[in-house]
Amino acid sequence: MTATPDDDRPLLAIAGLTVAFTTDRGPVEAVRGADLAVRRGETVAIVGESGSGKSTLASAINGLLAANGHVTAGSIDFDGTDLLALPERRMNAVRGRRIGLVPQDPMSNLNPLLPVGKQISEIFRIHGVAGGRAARDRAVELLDAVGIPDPRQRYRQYPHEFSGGMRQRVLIAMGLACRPQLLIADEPTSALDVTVQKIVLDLLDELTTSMGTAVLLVTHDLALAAERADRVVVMHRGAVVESGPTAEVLNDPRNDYTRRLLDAAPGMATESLVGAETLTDAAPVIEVTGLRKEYAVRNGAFGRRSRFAAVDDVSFSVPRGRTVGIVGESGSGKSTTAKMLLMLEPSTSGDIVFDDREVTGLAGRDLFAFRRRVQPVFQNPYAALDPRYTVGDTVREPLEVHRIGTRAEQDARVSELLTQVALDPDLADRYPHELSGGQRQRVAIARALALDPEVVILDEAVSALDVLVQAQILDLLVELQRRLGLSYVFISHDLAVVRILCHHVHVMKAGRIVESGSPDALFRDPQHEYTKELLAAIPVGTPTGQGAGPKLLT
Amino acid sequence: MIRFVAKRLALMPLLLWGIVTIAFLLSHAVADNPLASIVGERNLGNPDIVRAATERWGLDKSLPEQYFLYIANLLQGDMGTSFRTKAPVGSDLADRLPATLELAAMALVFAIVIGTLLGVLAARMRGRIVDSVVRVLALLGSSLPVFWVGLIFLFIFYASLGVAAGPGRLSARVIPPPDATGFYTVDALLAGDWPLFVDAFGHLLMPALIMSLALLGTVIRIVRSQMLEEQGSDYARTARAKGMTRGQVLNRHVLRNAITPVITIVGVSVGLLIMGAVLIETIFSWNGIGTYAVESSRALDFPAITGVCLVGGCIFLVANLVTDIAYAVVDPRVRLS
Amino acid sequence: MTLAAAPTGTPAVGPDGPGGTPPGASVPVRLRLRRFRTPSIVLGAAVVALWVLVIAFAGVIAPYDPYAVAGPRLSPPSGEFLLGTDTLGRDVLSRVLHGARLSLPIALATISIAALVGCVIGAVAGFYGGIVDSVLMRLADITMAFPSILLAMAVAAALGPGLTNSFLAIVVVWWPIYARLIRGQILSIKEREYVMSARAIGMSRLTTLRKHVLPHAMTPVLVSATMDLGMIIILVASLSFLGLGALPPSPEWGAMITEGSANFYQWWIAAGPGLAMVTIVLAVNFLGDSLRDVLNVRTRVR
Repeated sequence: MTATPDDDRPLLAIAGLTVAFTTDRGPVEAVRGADLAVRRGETVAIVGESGSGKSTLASAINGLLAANGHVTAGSIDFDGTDLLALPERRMNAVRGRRIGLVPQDPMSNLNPLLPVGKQISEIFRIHGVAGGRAARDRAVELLDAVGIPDPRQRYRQYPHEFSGGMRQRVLIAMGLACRPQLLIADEPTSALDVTVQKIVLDLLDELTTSMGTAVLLVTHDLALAAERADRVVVMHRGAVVESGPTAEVLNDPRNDYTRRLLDAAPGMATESLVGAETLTDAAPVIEVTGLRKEYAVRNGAFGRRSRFAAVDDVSFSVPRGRTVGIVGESGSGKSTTAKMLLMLEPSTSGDIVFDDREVTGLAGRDLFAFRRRVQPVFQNPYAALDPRYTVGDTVREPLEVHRIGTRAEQDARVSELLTQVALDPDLADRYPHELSGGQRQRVAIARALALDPEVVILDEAVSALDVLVQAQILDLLVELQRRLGLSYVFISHDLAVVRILCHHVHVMKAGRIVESGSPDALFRDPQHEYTKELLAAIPVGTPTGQGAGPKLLT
Repeated sequence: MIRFVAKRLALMPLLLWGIVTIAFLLSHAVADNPLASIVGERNLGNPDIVRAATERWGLDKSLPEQYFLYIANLLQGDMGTSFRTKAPVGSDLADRLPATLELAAMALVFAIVIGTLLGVLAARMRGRIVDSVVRVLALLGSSLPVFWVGLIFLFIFYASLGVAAGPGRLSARVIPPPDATGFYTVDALLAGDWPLFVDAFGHLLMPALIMSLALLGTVIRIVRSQMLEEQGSDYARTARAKGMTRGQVLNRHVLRNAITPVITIVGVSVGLLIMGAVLIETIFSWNGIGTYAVESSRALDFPAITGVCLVGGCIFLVANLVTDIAYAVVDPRVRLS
Repeated sequence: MTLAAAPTGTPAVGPDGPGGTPPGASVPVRLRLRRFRTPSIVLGAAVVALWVLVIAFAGVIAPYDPYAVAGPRLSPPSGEFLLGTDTLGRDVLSRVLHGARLSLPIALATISIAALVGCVIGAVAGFYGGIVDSVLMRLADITMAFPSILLAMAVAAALGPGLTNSFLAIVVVWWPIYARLIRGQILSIKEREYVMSARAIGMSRLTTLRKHVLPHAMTPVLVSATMDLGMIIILVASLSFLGLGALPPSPEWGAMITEGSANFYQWWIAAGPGLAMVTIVLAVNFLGDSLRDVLNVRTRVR
């Protein structure tokens, strides 16, 4: 491509775009007067929390809004063409050929009944680029290019035969099949583990750079945007609140919301919330030794039963009044460990000693008494509360089960608990669907505190929350710990959060603890290969060395 | 796959044994003396006839003895002797099975083909008049009592208008084709007798169509809702992002995903088809398993009833096995184990 | 069923003043009710309501005694006999109206008992699992492998004809459907976090099942039962039609259609009861279908 004066004009220019959805409660504007420009070959990130309108904006570009959504104002200019005025037939020629898409969820975005190869090669057929054997060969080449081994074999396989990371590679191959000028990547890695995320993003970078493709990266992760994008656009409640070169926005945010977002996002440089107390200054409330959990699985064509250890020889202790973190990726056995600590699942072998007493075999009365002292808070704020009961009922339930107090005393206690988690006691009459995600998680915490437990097991308790809400809940947890002397077991996949909240951290992989230490020591000087890998995979929140300007065209 | 089939086949005798046992217990829980239905009320006073009948059907033996005798005979392929026809139940059933299978197969084809077409049509025309009409049609299909529709249709199209064939498998005085498969349409074709085929097919048409109604409604509803659901799926949107038109996405991606569940329905609906067969055969004087079952029930002919239940159970189990295999062939995600 | 009374005023979910409303009442329920006011639900409910009125006042509405000779035999529909008369000269319309008193309550009782039995068995199987689950579910498999009408016929044959026996026969055939449905529901709900949370506070398994699992499992059962009700009405009539259910001179609709089939050219004898059955079954199916859409329950495929 030769440089022409045209290259100064942005490839994609969105001006004053407003998108509205018709709903039962009248029209709702998801995007309001958004402006955005993407130059050739550069990467622009749209950052925002859930509901900020970032995905809607991306969908509007290639004209794939949900059926009840429509653009009510503004313009989308793509390489000199007004996309909004384009008839459907000509828009089809733009999609896939000139604007590619890498969608979010690798599990649901491939047709389960078609071999993956066919799903790639059909793009060439639709756009008349290649047909027959040629289309197939090109698809195989693409599979090879996105780093899928044995591409010729894999061409004929079905999506369910691929892992999540591999599927995401297939989706990238699809998005880039026709070497589009623009690639929309809508949260391309948020469904993946952090180590896989890094590999996939590196691949995406490499391919788009070599093809000269501009990337519009939609993400909720500010650090990721900082690392990958040349310019950043921050969205809040449907409006673009700030945009500019990445370094500028990150180092010198002019908008208040951006500033709050930056402050809330835990990075590897963020100050710890709990200080640097060491472990030895408190007696252990829980001691786990040699904990093991096996499941029977069938494998192979002969269906022979074998045993698979989800948790394998795990030992650690929880000092009273402290927070112990367990980090690991999916399948590491961290949630199974949590369930065993809660006595919700029996362990295969090993000991759990709680307050100097062996608890693994507890039943009946003793188990009931144990339940008062160890309580959980689970991940999903939408699933953790029974939708049929009011907030008050939910928080009161533990008191009823343990027959604590009269009805009036219970009511008073519910108010007290709600106040404790910074909720208005009047919310007691509301149902979970009337609350926000953060409010629900506060209710779940209030319920866990109702029985005055000594230990709270937090299983991915903040993972599903937006970053601002997450920061508030983390503050609340720290404050409660100081005030009530609680001990936490904090289970998470997010190293940055674990680092600022925990006194001591264990890294789990494939059922085993591979490394332990204080967050400071562990993250500054990791010893185990896997810990190093994890740390390297975390977006560091600073722009890459390529500089903030547009990349050079090849 | 082979393992799966073997496992399922191994489980079948267990289920069939359960069916036989339930049917046997039911038949012996009966208060009435079965002798009355064997020899007829008139002959109950004749001790010689009664003794002969008692011995022939082993009615003097204890219940467990009768049960083990029945099972032992069954294992040798002997399903006992009918009280009513005095013929072996096995041969009675073999004579009548093809008629029912021919009818049911035709009904199944109608339900699947018409149901899928209408379901797809309704989904594509969502919210328009065609959609509403098809939806009402689907509900009507599951709301009509088949025996009543059969009666009314016979009255209108056969008796009043004379445009449809009447009851029975063939017109009066038409000689059935030489027996090869027992399916009159197939046998007529094998014999090269075109007019006979037309006659047999004409007689098959109306009962099969009516029999398919209930299933038709179900197929339409499932296909329509599956189409709508799959159209809104992520992979359909991704396919659009590749530059495919709506029609291309429907044909290449959505349709196949939407139709797959219909296979499952076929397996489940065998019961519905058998129910239809019993009623339709009664209305259309169709000499199949259905009429045999009704006549046996009315006559308290328990060896025959048990036999029918056994055959019905077999058909159900085989149909379900075939369904599962078909599903695994169509959907690569399904692994049979 | 109160469908007409939802006020169309304030749609918003907002605070109605502090502490003004008791917990659980007010806005959400009203909003939920509004979703039920679709044309097909209203239409279905209206027809069902009409038939309920017929059942209540059959004696008053029916012009003649359903068992007594009212006029000439086999007279076609006329101003005097709106749906004609049968072989004995009884008024078909009066018999149809009185027949509703048999068909509908029997069908309702059948579906309720079948659903109840199925739910109890399915809940026990799903919640306790293990050997209990295996035994109960194999039993369900066997019953389901029994083509329903054949089993019903065998039961009816063994117990003798009669409406009570058709009722028993259909319950025996139908419970496994609900047992399977509720078991599947329970298995999936059991894994939800609020159920784990209930167990973690020390709530007993039985209480957890009652408070947090069963209520959520019931919606699909309710929808399924509504959708099956029509089929049961037809099945009851089918058994009578085959001579295995209600016997003459009962004005049961299926039995009346049998009479009609014996007098093939006097079409009105069968037309009346058949049409009655179609209206009620169609209305019930309309209701069930729309309920499923509104409550967003996935159709059971197996």
